[in-house]
Amino acid sequence: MSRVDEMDQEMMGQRESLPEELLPAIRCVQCGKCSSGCPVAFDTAHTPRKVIRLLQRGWLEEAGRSPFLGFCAQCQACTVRCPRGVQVSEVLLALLRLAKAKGWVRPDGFHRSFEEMVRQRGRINELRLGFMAQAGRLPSHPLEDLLLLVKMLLRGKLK
Amino acid sequence: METPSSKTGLFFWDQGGRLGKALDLNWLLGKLSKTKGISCCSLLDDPWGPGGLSQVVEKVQKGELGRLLWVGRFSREQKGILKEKLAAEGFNPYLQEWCDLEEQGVCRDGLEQTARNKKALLLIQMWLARVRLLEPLAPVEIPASDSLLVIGAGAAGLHAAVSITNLGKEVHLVERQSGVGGKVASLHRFYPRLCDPRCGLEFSIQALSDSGRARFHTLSRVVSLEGGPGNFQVRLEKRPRFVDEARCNACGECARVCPVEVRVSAESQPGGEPPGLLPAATKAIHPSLPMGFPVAYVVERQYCPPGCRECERACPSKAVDLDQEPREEELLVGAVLVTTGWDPYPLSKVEEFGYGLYPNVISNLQMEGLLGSPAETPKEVGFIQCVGSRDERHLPYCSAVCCSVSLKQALYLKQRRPDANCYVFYQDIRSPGFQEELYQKLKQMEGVTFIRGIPSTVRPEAETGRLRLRVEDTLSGREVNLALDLLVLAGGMVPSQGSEELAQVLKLPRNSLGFFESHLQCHPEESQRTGIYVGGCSREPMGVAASIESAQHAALEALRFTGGTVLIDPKYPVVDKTKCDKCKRCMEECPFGSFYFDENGFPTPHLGRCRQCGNCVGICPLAAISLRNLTIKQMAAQIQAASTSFMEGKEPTVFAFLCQNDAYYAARDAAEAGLPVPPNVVFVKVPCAGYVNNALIADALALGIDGVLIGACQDGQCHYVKGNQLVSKRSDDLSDKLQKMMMERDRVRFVNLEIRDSEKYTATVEQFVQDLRAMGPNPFKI
Amino acid sequence: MRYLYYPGCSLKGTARDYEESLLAVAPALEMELQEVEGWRCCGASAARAKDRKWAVSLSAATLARTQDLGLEILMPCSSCYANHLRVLTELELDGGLGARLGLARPPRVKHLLEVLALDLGEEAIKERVVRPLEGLRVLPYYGCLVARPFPMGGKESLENPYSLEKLIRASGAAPLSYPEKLDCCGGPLLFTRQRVALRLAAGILREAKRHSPDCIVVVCPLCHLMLDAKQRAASREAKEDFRIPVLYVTQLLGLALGLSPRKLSLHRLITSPAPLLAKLALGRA
Repeated sequence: MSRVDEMDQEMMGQRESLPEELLPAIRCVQCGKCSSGCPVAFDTAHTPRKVIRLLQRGWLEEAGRSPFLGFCAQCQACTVRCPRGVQVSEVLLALLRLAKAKGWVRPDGFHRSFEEMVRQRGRINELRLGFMAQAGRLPSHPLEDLLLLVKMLLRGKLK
Repeated sequence: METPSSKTGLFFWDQGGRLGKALDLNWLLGKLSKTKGISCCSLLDDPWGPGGLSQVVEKVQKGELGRLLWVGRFSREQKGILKEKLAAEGFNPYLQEWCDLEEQGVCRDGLEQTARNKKALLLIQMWLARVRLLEPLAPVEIPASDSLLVIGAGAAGLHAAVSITNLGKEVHLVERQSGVGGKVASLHRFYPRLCDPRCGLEFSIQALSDSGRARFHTLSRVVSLEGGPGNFQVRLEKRPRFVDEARCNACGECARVCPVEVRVSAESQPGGEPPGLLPAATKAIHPSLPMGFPVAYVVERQYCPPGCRECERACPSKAVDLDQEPREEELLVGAVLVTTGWDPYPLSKVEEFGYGLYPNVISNLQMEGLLGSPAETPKEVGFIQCVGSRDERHLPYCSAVCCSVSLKQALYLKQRRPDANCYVFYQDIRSPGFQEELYQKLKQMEGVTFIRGIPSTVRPEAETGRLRLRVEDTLSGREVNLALDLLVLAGGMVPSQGSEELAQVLKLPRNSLGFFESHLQCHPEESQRTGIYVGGCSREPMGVAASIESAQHAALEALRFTGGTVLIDPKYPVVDKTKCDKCKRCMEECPFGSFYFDENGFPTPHLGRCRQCGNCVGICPLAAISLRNLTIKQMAAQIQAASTSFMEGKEPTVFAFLCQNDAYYAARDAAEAGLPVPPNVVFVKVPCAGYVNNALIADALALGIDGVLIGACQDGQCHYVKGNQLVSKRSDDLSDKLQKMMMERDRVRFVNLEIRDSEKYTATVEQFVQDLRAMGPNPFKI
Repeated sequence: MRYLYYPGCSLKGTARDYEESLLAVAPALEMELQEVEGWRCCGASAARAKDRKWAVSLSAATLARTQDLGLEILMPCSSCYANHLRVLTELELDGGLGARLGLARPPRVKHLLEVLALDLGEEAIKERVVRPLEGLRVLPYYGCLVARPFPMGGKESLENPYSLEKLIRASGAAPLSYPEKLDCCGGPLLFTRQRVALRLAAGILREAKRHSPDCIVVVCPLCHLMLDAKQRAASREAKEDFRIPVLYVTQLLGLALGLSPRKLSLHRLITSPAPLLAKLALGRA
């Protein structure tokens, strides 16, 4: 294949067929409403619209590695405003799941602890979860956290 | 009238030996001249030369021929010439038929000589069978009024009416508001010249007044429509104006003394919100709205204080009549034009932009009003495109004009206030044709910014009331934050409220979006009711110029149902009342709603409404309906004649019904192109595949024909709306019939063909013949 | 009215004041709540971010163990509510799913807000109010998941719900109006993107402050955590003081229904409700 052909291929994107959960991305017309209403749209290099664009072009891995995915709070503002009926939150969540499965994103400590606890005990104990999630990381505001911890314990909010 | 003689003349057009090369004409002539009923069977000399038809004409003159069959290749025009020439001699044009052997593939290479001749003979005999049963038909005259009805006196309706009066016809304009002009009258400016839209409307009104042939029925609605093209009986319900139109000259003395100020009533503004140039408040007695024509004032009686008659007293012409009652009027018209236009899509449904909540969020229609008023021009103005349009949650379609409207408004805004900042938030800018110039002009302008990105929502700034808006500039991926003084939502169009009501009254089908169903590409102004035409935005969102063109086209089409009489082709259906059991299937399935009950309760087609497609023939479970020139008996006779096997040994025979609009051409062109269409098939043309009654199919099979093929149009392309679908709908009933006959269901096949699908036709027949070979011969075959 | 009651993990932990106030007002509102036996966690946002099938199975488990009890399930937590409703919606769309999950007759699931505002209604609550909270300026905060994408069985507006305002009105207080009532509080990001979460919470508090509310009222334990427990941290992020008490809707209604602040667990709030109680002349919690 000539270099021109190769460049062409890159530009066209590997248009492998998207997994079913991500197919709704094809319907998007890139109007940008999702980004416009997203509380974390401009916190990373990618807006939600851009991630959907990457999916449309078949650049699945690049989309899966998008820094945006870790910032989505699943607030659903994008989904309810999309004029093409794309459930944007769902598509991005499905992409995140895929990215985790493929090892494109680092496993999230908090989510892992959460999962472990639910599988083992069926319910969440927030105190334990808090510690498990914090484990291995230095708290950014230790005094503030400690104060809150004490307050919550005193008010019986943590067992 | 006496049945014309059954003496049939058979004439071959050999074209200087062309036919003779492929066929043994002597043998054919020999066989045929011995056939019963043939009084003459010969070759034609040059029919196009001087005295060329003399042999035929002489015999006709001598009364030796009652019917004719022409065999050979004749173009449509040539057939017409033959009909004319003989008609001049008193020979009824419907007593002749043409049998084209070439198009049936008889003359092509690759066919063995004997087989060729046998097939040719069979085909001729098929057509003879038909000719024997022909009847002398004559077109029917139905009376046609010389006036037309235009429903909706907006820009489209008015311009159409002008065209109609220019051609000497009378026009009745029905308008639900007190004045004419519709939505266009509420606009401030037109693009691209930024001219005043009332200028053109005024011009039309003047032309209509001067013509003396236009009658305006304002404050009116159509409540019933009976009859058919040529003579529709229309009943109007007219609300009282409370002012005598003949006396009032709009001097305004009444309004001066009227004690009541009201908001313009919802009745006169069917869209709900007061659009554009309309006064927000007016006296209870006011000029017609939206435009002051008819000249007479109108009273919003519901707002009058009890007992108040100030206007009546003050009127120097004694024109006010507060005791007027609603009344009805009946009209007789030849055809109907529907130009009921559009209403704005209610933007309160698009909740995210705060329409209805924040006073500085307005619609594009309201912007027209703002731009036309002396109000101060705001500085920071945003336009959000596609609000409610191209949106699955609201209107899935594009409303066609909003981009151009926003461009125009931005331009006008900048003219009023050069230091203003306009922001256009868009997905695409649709400014087709010469409107590109408007777009480019605006793009270059300072203080006009195009941002490709739609905002998600807007928030008012507490202190200033300005609107904060955040959007992704998708072309750069960057965040844009703005504070606007005014936000214009470019809202879309829906068919007007009037359209909805009218659809019920006229029983006019609408598509899933609520617009009147038209025949799109081919006949966009034609509705599914003959004699009723739809134009302008009632049919599809479009700009003013397009609406006017559309309505004028509709007017042109409608004119054929005026002028004294309308000639109806004598190919209309007839119901055999001895067989009919009044099941009403024909009435229900007719795509054009042509049937009505006669005085004995039998379904009868209205000759004007009927489009002679023959779907009723196909649908009748008792085969009680026939088209006058294509009766069930004639078709059955052709089938019978074809049941003699013309193929060798066990080779299957196929009888094909081909719709004359598409499938037939595919077959004919296949023969022309010399495609290898198997010789096993003979076909007949039918006006629509829907004509094919199951009884005919069963007949064919019962007589030993191995397979029946029905060629129909593609879905969505049928000229008679859904004839092709109706055929397959009946397939269940057909399967029953076939089961009773112990016949394989697969002996009946349907194929959808487009006009140039000759290859598909060929392949279908090939496959069919192969499958029939595998199935073995029809057990009923002799 | 009897309901099954699915508390969710938070209401047994950091949001126990929500449960306590709910159980306190229930009798006054003639609501009988029967806790779902052996209920399990709904998976919150964490399960769905990892394994969809597992997440569905968690909600399905609740629906399965309650399906033959003939009662509707009341959920005070928006996240639990959204997760369960998602599965119910999928059941409607996918005919075979019900069979596969063993859910032939799944029960209806309602958010507490829906029960209070629609089942009970403003008038019914008003009738039972003994201490109308006149003069109190109360800011409603819905958060995301009670309004989107399943706005209370479709009976509420996606963009402009009014149910919470109605309840505030029923209590005698004056509901304040502001468009940020549907903005995300950042809750799901608290442990993964803390600064962003605090920024979002701060944004709401900042806009709230403009309206000088006596308190903010919420319907979700995670929103409450962000706006109440994390109010100080949000202040730090925003470099702005807030000090706005944040109450659960049940606590507000409880006050109007004549219950004591103690009974309504107002003493468990992190941001002191003292100014609010002073205004109502209710002394300390």
